[in-house]
Amino acid sequence: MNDLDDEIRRAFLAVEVPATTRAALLEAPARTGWTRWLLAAVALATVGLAAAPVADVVESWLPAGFVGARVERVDVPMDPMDTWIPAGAEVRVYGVDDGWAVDHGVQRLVSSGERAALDLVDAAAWRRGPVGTVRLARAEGPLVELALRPEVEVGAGWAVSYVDVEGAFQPIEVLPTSGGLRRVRVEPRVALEVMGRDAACSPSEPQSSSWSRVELRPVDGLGEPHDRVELYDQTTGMALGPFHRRSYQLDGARLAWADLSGWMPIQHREVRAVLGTGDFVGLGVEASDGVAVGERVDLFAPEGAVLLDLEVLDVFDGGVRVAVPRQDAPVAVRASGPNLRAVRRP
Amino acid sequence: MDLPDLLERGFRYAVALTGDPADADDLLQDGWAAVLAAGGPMTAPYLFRSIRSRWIDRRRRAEARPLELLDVESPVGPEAERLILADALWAGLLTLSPPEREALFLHLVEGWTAAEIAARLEMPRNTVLSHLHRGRTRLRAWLADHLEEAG
Repeated sequence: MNDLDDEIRRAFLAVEVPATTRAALLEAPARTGWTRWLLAAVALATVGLAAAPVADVVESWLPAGFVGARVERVDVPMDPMDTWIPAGAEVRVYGVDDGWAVDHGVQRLVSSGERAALDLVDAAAWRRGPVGTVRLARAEGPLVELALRPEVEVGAGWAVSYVDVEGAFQPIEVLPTSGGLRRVRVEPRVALEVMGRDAACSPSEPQSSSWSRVELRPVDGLGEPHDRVELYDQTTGMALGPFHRRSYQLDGARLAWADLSGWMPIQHREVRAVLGTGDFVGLGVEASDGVAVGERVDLFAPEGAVLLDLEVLDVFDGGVRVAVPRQDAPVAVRASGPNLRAVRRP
Repeated sequence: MDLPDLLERGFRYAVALTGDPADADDLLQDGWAAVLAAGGPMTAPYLFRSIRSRWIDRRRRAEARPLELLDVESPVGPEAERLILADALWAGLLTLSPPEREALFLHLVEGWTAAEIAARLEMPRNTVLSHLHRGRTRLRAWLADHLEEAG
């Protein structure tokens, strides 16, 4: 009995949560119970501070490009909603003044917390318009991640939401709830509107109560059953989140479509499906003849520039699947199309 | 509060309920998000309760919508195969009913007594004892058959 119990215990303890899920759920510190009250108190304090001059410019000698370069560092009271952004990140800074937001450009966050220190990368933008209450968004290529204030109503979890600004509906992606925060990934222009006057979000209509169907293209090459499919917006390269395939339809050896759980922002997008494989994603692309599994290939962009040097994972009818480092996936997906080709390295 | 440890425990519990790592991953994400959204304590019993509620909801929805479950292959993928097929004990555990696996996990891994399991899952203590007994008996029998076949 004891031996069997020990074996059962060992079997369960050998199970580990997938790395991508662990990273997503532990990305921001959990804020529960008394910490929420603490944040509320900090928020009130920030409101009081907003009436006073909010930024102190501290000019100092700091290493920037070469040791001894003179840069401007500003010290600002930060909105408690934005303390999830780690120091060292590139952030887009917004000044929210009387309900209107002003973009103060992409700057570098030196320290996070109740007061933030920013190194001014774009000093000209910083001096444009009133600063007011400072809000930060994490800059991420053409998009930014922004924490939503509690009064901005959004759909929960993976829901697709729309921001209604002066009658115009703009689809935005709601990220998994993390650390008690609701965050969205949006274009900087939309972020400005979300933080400005009269911004509101509301859940969109899902395609069904709990499923969405996405049609996949031949070049996606997901012919074999896999348990993890990730979706990307073809136009922006934006990750639409990891999704587990629940059911799917094979057309010969090709995956024609998949039904995926949850609401997803796929309605108005051209979606690319890739396989999630830990640190890499498997992206289907067209290839020159004779490329074999395990070979290194150059991924050529339409204009002829070499984008990435990659390894071939699989060869299938019409193309190959290449291993793209996760951080390069948005670039590769954005570029992928009929003119993108994988060519064997000379 | 050790959040990484809590996350692992939550995932193991979800695997105990579903028997499928991919489903367990979904369940963990939903349960974790719900705990955070509710501002609840980050404790194992609360997280387990959140996961269990969502698992029950999903089972009910699946039973109510049989036509949406298409004529597909098993959702078990390479990750699951590595986990399950490489380990005969897991193969045996997957032959148990979810309540039997759940009871064994909570008792043997989390160290809950039968009375604690009964109180937290809102079921009679004798039912818990029955799940534990039947789970062990069936698993032992399955392993004996399996090992005999394997020579």
